[in-house]
Amino acid sequence: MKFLMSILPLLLFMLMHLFCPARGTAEEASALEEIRRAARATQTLSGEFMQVKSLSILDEQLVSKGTFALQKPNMIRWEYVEPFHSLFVINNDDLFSWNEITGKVERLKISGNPAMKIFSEHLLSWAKFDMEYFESHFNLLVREGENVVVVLKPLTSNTIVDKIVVEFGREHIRSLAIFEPGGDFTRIEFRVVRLNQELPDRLFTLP
Amino acid sequence: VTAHLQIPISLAFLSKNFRAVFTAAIALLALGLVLCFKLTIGEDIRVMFPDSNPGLAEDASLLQQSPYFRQVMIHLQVDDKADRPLLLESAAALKEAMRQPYFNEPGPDFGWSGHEFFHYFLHNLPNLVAPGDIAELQRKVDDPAQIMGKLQEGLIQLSGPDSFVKKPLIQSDPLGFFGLLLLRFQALKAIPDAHYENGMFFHQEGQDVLIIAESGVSITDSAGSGRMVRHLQDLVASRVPPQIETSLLSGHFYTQANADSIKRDLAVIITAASLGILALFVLFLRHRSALFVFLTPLTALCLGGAVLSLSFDVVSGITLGFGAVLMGISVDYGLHVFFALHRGDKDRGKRLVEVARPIVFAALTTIGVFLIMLFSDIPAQRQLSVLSMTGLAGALLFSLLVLPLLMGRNNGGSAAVYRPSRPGRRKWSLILWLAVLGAGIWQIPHLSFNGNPREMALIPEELIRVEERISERWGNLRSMAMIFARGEDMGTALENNSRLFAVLQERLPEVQVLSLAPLLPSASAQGVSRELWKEFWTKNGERIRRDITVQGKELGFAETAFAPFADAFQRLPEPMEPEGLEGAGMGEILNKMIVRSDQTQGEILVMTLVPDLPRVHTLFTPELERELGVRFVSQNRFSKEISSSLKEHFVWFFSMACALVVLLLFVLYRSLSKTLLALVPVVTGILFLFAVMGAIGTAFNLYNMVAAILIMGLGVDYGIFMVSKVGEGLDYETEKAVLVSGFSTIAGFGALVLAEHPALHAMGLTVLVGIAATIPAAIVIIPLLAGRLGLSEQ
Repeated sequence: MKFLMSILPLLLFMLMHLFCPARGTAEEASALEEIRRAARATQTLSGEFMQVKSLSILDEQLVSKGTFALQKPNMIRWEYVEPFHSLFVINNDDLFSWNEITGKVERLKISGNPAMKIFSEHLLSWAKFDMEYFESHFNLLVREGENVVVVLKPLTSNTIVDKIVVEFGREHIRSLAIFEPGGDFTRIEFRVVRLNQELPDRLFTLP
Repeated sequence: VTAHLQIPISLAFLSKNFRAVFTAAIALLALGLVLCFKLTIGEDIRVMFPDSNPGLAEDASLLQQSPYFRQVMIHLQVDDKADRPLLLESAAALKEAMRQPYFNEPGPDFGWSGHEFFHYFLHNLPNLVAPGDIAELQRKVDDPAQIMGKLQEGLIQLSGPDSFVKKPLIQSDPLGFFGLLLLRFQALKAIPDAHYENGMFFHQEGQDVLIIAESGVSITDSAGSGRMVRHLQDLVASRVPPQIETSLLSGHFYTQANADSIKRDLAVIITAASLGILALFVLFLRHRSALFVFLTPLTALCLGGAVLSLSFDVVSGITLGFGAVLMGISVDYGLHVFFALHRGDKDRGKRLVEVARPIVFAALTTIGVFLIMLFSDIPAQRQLSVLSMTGLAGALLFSLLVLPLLMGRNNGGSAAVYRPSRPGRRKWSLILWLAVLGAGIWQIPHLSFNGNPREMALIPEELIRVEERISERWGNLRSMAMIFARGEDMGTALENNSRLFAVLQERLPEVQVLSLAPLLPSASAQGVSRELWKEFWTKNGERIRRDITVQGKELGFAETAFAPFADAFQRLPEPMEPEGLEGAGMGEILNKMIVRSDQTQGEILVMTLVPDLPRVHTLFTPELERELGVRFVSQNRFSKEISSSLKEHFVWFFSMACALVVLLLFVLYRSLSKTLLALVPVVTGILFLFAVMGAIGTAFNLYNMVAAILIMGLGVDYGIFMVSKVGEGLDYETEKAVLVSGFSTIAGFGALVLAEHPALHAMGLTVLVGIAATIPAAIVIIPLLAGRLGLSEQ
């Protein structure tokens, strides 16, 4: 479960930018500055997503659908409803997970493994949109076209992530894709996004 | 008596040959001083343990492997959950800053949940399975629904955002075989409600972190402990914000608290003792020649130390500490010579001869008592015996041969006149004396012995609160008992460790045990497991591979998805070795549990931790320890054995000393009544001490036992001097000499009662109480009884 933590910061970062408006300028710095400004103004995000996974150990792509909710500074709900029902909730230092096969709620502490240390650092950095920290871990490449695409490549090579590609549409982020070194990838498309709506506390507590 | 035990000392002869006497004395002292500087002082506590019980010394050495001796615990806590990120950040920063030279570098530790860890233990499953595990596996693989459920669970995990790390785990273990090992990991979980990572425990409620570090500073090194404590406090101050409550605990804090306390005490004691000695000088001595009296104890110490250095390669610091008692006893000889001679020239030679006899009596009885110690099986007592006998012999010679010459010719001084008490006072004195004796005898059954070193250490209130706080939150890890499985090599040690674990599980199933055995069994236990696995896999392997491939296909898994699983169990693994566990991220815990130190003389010791409970003590009889090749060591049991040993030796020494003193006195006086009379001060002093200790509930310990020996030595001396005075009409100020001797002892040793430190205080209280009763018994009761018995010559 701890490995979930290593990707959640990335997700969080992406989710924080779902609200981003379409860009008309070609200046990367300006685009990033807009992202940061918007991130600061955002307290909550919620919506729906569709996820496609292409994994070498599966004969076909695995397509899942679900909902998400995020509240600053560090509460996340990530729920799959198809093809299996499963749920992850992060509430400060607590992590809950549940799935329909086991039917059991697993509780962990974010600090329970080394990944949590990274998570804490990242979480704070994303929430503040700490560009300095962000740039110390990834190479950023901003491509301008019909949509703004940000490509993040880890500064140090690792066996987990090769690159992350985030695409921003006219209204909000359209998708993010995580590419692994072996060729497997995960692509998440965001369908409906609501900004700064009041989110009930129960979303971030145990089901 | 005087006729046949006359000591042939001629002051005239000494005076005539004073150059030769001085030269010889100075040469002897110079030689003694040189030899004293060659003394090698050791701090090995083993000299305090009897040779007849080598287990005690071994336990003392093994106890140093205890977490109590090595670990530094830092408990960080926040009241508000919102401060949790700050707590984690501060804990990590503090841990990072704790480096050499005060703290040992932590070993490589990848954590208990990394890939290396998972794959190592999954690969070694055949080395670890028990019959119950095989039955559980059989149920899993015989039920197609269970197989499908596990594969679906794998698919769900793959759909999650962390699939890239779950994927290899699912490929290697699609049926969750690893889950069989989870209970085994509990056997190394020191704190059940917490998880461990990078040298830190995180409490499951989320508001507490415990950092455990090892320090290279010995807790017996008071200066090093002080520096380490201050360094740690500085680190905390600079890295932990004030809203985080910090509790620091390690043996070093006790060492520092004790060292600081002794420093403070010494200032008070030295001041009080100096004022007391000065008052004595002004009130009773008032002559420059009296200053030479104080050369007597210095001579005793110098000569005693010289002979010690010739007799022993290493001398215990504790033995040398007893030098203070030696000085306290030997100063008496000089005082009696002073009071006999200081009144002037008239009859000085005669008075020296007279006073020499009780001085020699006193010295002989005290030397006799210390001679008994020479046959003790406690090394420190034998050293003490050599120090005391030679020191007292040196003091005796100095008092009788050199001091009279140093005192020269004096004038003045009042004659000693013994004045019997008035009849009314005599009656009340006797009643009071009898009451004291009765109270002492009544309290004898209530006396106890306490060998627990902790009881004699100063433990500040703040440290007690920290202990309670840490114990309440994290359990009492520091005071757990240890069982060492031993072996000439790792294989034998692990073999014994596995047998030990099996015995603990069978006989004490309810007791929490921290052991390596479930994760690193012996070679033979692994052999049994491999045979079990081989049978299971031969019977089921092919079918399992087929079932997961077919059912996996139904869920969309590729045909080769679980190839790593089949490969993992294709061949039986090699037997597990400690090096393999180190590679899997368990290096730090192995370093804690496996002892390969110089102290073990090449032996390998594998440690198991168990609660220090009476039922655990009872289980580990010497027979079981031999059978299993293990040694059970606990602070509680160690304290009990030390107490028992102390009691046994004290009773032995006390009985033998009493018998010898009575015998010597009888030989010297040839009179039963005089012998009994001479014993009055020592009996009164000891019984009064018993009465007071019983009444206030103080137990005998190492320190007040030493003080009791001082009371015995001085009490017998006072008895001899007073019996010689009242029974044989010695013409000198014996009472004054006894009084000054007693008061000087009270000033020197009794001042310790002002100490805050329990050990010093106990010693001071014992001397104060004992000598306070010994002096009136000698000065008042002996003359009264002598009068009633018709022994008084005046």
